[in-house]
Amino acid sequence: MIGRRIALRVVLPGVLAWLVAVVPSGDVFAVGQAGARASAAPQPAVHQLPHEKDSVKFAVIGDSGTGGRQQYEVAERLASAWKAFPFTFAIMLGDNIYGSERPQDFIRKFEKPYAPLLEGSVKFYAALGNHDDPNQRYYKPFNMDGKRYYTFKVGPARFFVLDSNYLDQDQLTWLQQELSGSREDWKISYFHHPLYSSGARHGSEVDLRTRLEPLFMEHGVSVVFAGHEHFYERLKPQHGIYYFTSGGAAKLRSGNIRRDSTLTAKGFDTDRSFMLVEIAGEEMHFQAIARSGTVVDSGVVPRVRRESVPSKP
Amino acid sequence: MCAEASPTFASWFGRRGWSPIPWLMVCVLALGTGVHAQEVNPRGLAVLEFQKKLGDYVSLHKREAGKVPALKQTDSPAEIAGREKLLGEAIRQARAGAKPGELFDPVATIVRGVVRQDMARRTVRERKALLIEVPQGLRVVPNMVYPTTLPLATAPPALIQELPRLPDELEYRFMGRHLILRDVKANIVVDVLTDVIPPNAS
Repeated sequence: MIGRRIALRVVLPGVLAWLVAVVPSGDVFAVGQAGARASAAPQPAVHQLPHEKDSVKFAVIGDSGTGGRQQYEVAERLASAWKAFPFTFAIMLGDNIYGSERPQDFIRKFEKPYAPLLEGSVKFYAALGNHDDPNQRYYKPFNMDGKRYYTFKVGPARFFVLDSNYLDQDQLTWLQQELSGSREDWKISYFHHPLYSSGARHGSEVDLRTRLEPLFMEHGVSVVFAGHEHFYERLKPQHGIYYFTSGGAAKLRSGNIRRDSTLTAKGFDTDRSFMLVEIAGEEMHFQAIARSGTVVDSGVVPRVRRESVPSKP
Repeated sequence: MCAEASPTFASWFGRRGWSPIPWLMVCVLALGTGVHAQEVNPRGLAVLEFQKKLGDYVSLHKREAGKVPALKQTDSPAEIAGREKLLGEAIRQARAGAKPGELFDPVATIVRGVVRQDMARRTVRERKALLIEVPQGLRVVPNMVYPTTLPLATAPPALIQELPRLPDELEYRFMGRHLILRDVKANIVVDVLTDVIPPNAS
């Protein structure tokens, strides 16, 4: 289907009006500075990934495990992208297996759609979503090492994978210890529930944010990825941290990003999507790619330097 | 340090043929009479009793877990599901006849209060976001398998922090308006505290 209906909320002086428009699949919107207006923005120039030899290359998929046609189509697009951009691992932002979790479901909802990547030795590192049985942590292809929350290192980057479904004191203590002990240049965290979100269905997870963000700020986390919301959203940096929501690798909540949100830097909620990321030196380059293959967002994120970590609010 | 301190302590008293135990008992009694009954923290006692029940459950869990194959990293989802099922069945058999509230009982009032306060301090939007994925319409009883087709509704960190701490084997979750204790590895409902969420919460 080429056309997709999206609702564009436009603020007129003193009046809110809802317009319904048909835009081609792959169009994106950017929200204005004050967040008071929204418009279908022209496609910006695509920021190309640098493809450096020794850089850290990875893909990001969230809310992927439906086993449905759309998951397979996104997976095919991801496999094509991998041929051109040979990422060595993929991070999964939770809801890895929706619905029943019988052995055949792991095949239909994970092993089969991502078979070209698994055969190509791409490693998957999963976070748990609210639709996942926590015993998925014992499933070797998810590389969780039997833990609900864990950390791994690739080159100059350390990833902190959390179980945002159940953030208890033990997990917070563990995170504090791991973050303070980490000496890597890049600290990246990912988990299922977004700390900031313009989603009309869920929105920001304030409880989680209250506990996690001070730790991220204190220890120089540069980037945070989350899923849960079935769309793509790049948030305006919050306290020096770049937040991405990428929960549309199979499911879509069409038109769910609130057009009056002051949080959105870029949003895409008219089709499924995934991300490609490359960390090269002091910069993290990213592209968000729709199922159609269109690059719907791209850019560069600078690393947070320890000495420039903002003080606690 | 302790290894050195103990013999010194014992030999000091031993030399004088004097035992400290009666004196310690006198001190304890003396202190006890100075503590008025109303100063005993009823919440603390209730939580202690709850912790004891949890401890008993963990012992049972460990005993039954020892009878089924160990859970380890595997490429086979069948192995994971099979182990989960076996452990669940073993615990169910060992706890046949478990009644709702059996574990929660000592802290039921406290937990209800904590949940009520937690809900009250949230905005309508926050409550809606929290409860939107809580499974509804199920008859929740101890020993039932938590349906793997349903989401595990997120337990809010602020609430977890206020509730009595749980051992690794257990977690709090909502099902309908009920709060459950869920065995994480066996995926079964261990206990249920009914109607903790106020009816008008969402």
